Amino acid sequence: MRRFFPLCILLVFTACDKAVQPAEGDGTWDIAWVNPIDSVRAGTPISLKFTGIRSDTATSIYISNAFGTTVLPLKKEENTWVCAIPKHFVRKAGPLYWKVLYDEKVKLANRIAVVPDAGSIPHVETYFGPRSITVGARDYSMLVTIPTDPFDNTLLAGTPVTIKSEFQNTVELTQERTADFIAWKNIVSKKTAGRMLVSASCLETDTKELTTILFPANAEAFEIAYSRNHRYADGNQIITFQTNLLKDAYGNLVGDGTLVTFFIKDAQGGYLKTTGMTIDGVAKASLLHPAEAAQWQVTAYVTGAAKSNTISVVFEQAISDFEVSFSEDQRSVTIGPLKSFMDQIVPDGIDVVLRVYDIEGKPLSTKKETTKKGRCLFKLPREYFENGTYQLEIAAAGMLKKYKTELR
Amino acid sequence: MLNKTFYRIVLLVSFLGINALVIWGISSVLSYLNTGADRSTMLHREVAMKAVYLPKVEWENLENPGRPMELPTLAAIEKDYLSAWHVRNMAFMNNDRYGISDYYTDSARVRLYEQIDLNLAQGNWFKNTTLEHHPELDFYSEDGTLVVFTDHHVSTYQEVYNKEELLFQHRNSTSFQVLMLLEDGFWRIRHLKELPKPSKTEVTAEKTKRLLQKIPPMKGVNYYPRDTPWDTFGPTFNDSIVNSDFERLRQMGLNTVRIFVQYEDFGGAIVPPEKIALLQELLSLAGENDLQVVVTLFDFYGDYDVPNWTLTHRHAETIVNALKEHPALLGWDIKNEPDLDFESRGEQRVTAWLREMVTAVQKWDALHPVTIGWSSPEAAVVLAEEVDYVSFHYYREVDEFKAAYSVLKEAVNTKPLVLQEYGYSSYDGIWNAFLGSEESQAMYYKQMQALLKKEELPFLFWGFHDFKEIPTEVVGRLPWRKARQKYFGILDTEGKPKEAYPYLDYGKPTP
Repeated sequence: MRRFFPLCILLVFTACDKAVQPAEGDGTWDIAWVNPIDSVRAGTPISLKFTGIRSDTATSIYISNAFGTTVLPLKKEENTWVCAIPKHFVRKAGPLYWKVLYDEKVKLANRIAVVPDAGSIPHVETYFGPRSITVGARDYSMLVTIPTDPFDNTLLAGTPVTIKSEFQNTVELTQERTADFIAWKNIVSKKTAGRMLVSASCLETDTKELTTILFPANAEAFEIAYSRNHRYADGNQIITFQTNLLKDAYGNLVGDGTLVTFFIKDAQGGYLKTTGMTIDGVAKASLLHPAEAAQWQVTAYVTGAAKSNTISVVFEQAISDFEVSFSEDQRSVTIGPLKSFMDQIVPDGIDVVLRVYDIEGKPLSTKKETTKKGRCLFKLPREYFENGTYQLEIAAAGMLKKYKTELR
Repeated sequence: MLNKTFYRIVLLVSFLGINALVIWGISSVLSYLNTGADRSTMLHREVAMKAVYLPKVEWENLENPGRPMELPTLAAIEKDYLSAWHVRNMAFMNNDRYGISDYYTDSARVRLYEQIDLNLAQGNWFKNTTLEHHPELDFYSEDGTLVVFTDHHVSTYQEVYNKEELLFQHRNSTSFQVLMLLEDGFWRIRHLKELPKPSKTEVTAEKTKRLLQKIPPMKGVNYYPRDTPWDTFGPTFNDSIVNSDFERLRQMGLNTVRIFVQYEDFGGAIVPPEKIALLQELLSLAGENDLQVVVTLFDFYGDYDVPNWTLTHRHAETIVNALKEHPALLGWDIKNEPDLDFESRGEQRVTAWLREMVTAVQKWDALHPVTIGWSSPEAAVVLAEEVDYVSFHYYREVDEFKAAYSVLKEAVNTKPLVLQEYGYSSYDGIWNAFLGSEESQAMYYKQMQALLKKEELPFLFWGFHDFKEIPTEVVGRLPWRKARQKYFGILDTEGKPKEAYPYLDYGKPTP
């Protein structure tokens, strides 16, 4: 029997490759398919009827399609043998193969083309993405539609699908045809930011509404300005930098939250940085006034996208001088009162630094304090500083005072 | 009083017990709620899966009107697509839904479930495998979540069972169009549609393309190194030992060696390059000594079951492609003595696997002949149509050889025949009542060589060396079998010629 295997396989190939009619078999049986069917619409019940089957007990019918295979017995009805094809086989469009099997051999085989049920109202699945794009002619979202019949079979290639899109009261319709299961269209972005709605319809079926958001593109070059209460470097007031309206190349305000970084270069070449995010196209950022006279060059950036002009900000010295007084043993140093531009006592928190050197100028200690009610106090305790002569340097508000003193 | 204390204790203990239970219950609910999708498992990257399904996949064209395909995405699609085939094959074999929901979308899996339910009720089950896929990309969506491709000529093999009975087996070549969606990290099949059959000529064309060399008049030996029998390519592989053996074979006027490649030793489905390098080295040594090599694949392999076919195919494909250009290669022996597995594995299962493997090797290597090393002349008629030459082994009496050989020759008259193994053990000891001897071995070879010369039958005798140890896997644990197996050589364990040697020494005139 083994030697018939090649023959058997050849037969299967032949059976599969032939067109629908006539049915193929091994010829040793006088078997016939009495109700030949070329093709059916999906969902139509089919029964296969045969005559000339010799042994109804050992004969079975093999049924297969893309989603699987089964084997069923044949039922005898008067002179014919009948097989009702299970429902789910006739619901799947595509070739449906059947073979009458007896003793590991194919006695008769053929196929029925199950075609999608194009007459019924189709279902249309939609897949839309990306759901956010930027304005301009480059970016787009893609709408993919898959029209199917009620049995979830994709419709035949060439089925028309209308794709609709709405943007700012303008509706566009285009007709696409299905190929490779799908009908699709690229929905190209517009020049203004906003929301675009799309949907599709196929035959009588309309899909749900889908949305893509058109976000503004990158910011273009912009300008900055500053505002402050006064021009003095009092180390207390706040200066605010502000951009003008940040717009993209198409005049759309950039999206809220666009990060703007202000870089500040001072006269000594040091850098300061502050950031702000845009709200309604404007970004603001603040900094404390310096405590000493300064000249700032300020430029702002939207990283990777845009740069502003450079502005210059000048701060005048607010504190013109300060007093220093020593205790009797010279171990307590009182600075102040520090007075500002109107001779007012400075607000609390101005930095004051005391540096202690020995007589040869070797640094011994650096102490930092901030003013409270315009004054601040340094103590030089005996435990750390033995009796002797020391040099002291006191720095505040950009000014430096030097003393030589003998601690007792 | 005692009673009261007892009740108190009982009350207290049960109170504590109930509290412990309640706390344990709450904590297990909480810990259950905390398991599941954590970030590390979200993308399904955590499981290093062993290769279980490796059909050949060749993407033909990645051009498509949608988004350009990225290679990592393509690899992910391919992996999930093959897994979809694998879980489906397994589901139809076991009539179990396991894994289907991972690789088929809601609407697609319903169709498979209906199929499984029906087959379960009817007692049908199937062994399916797909051996080749040739997908071509049709469409890839802009957001990277939908893909359509056509899988051309999917080469399938199916065995149809009802309860315990095999009803039908067949091969097929089918094309499918597939739509897959990316859903929570898995590419899942949404639509799968069979396309009209390709023309028949494409299927048969592959067969006729073979440009076979003539089968040479083989005179040779089944070769293992003296100290490492059944382990030629193990850690002790020594090129100078192999070379000196091959030099001696050349001096003997022999032209062929048959070697054995063990399936597990060569890594199973994924063959390590080091092993390939050893094989190539051995073939080069053979070539330098004017020897040609018959490579026997799948030694010590014994499963043959359909779900593993893709793995054995990858194994063979790697080795065949690595060696097919080698000038010292004579041909391929698919498997040594597969008929011995007929009883334990079923003849149908073994022959189906062999048939498929012969076809596959013939396709990968159109130049070198393919054979199967049957254990007896009687078994060698199986698949005689498929192989390029018929190989058989003979270990019975010399007197009966001619009759058995004539029957085989009659049955396969068009195909060349090769006596691929024969020999005689010179074992002389307690297990054969001291009846063997080197003389009787020499006598055997004298008679056999005369017969073979007369019949002009190519031969590969067994074996070259006597061995000190025989691995248990070869003939089992029984000491009389092991003892016999040790003395088949024509050189003793010291490398000195035994009495049979001159009859196989074609470098000098036969005595």
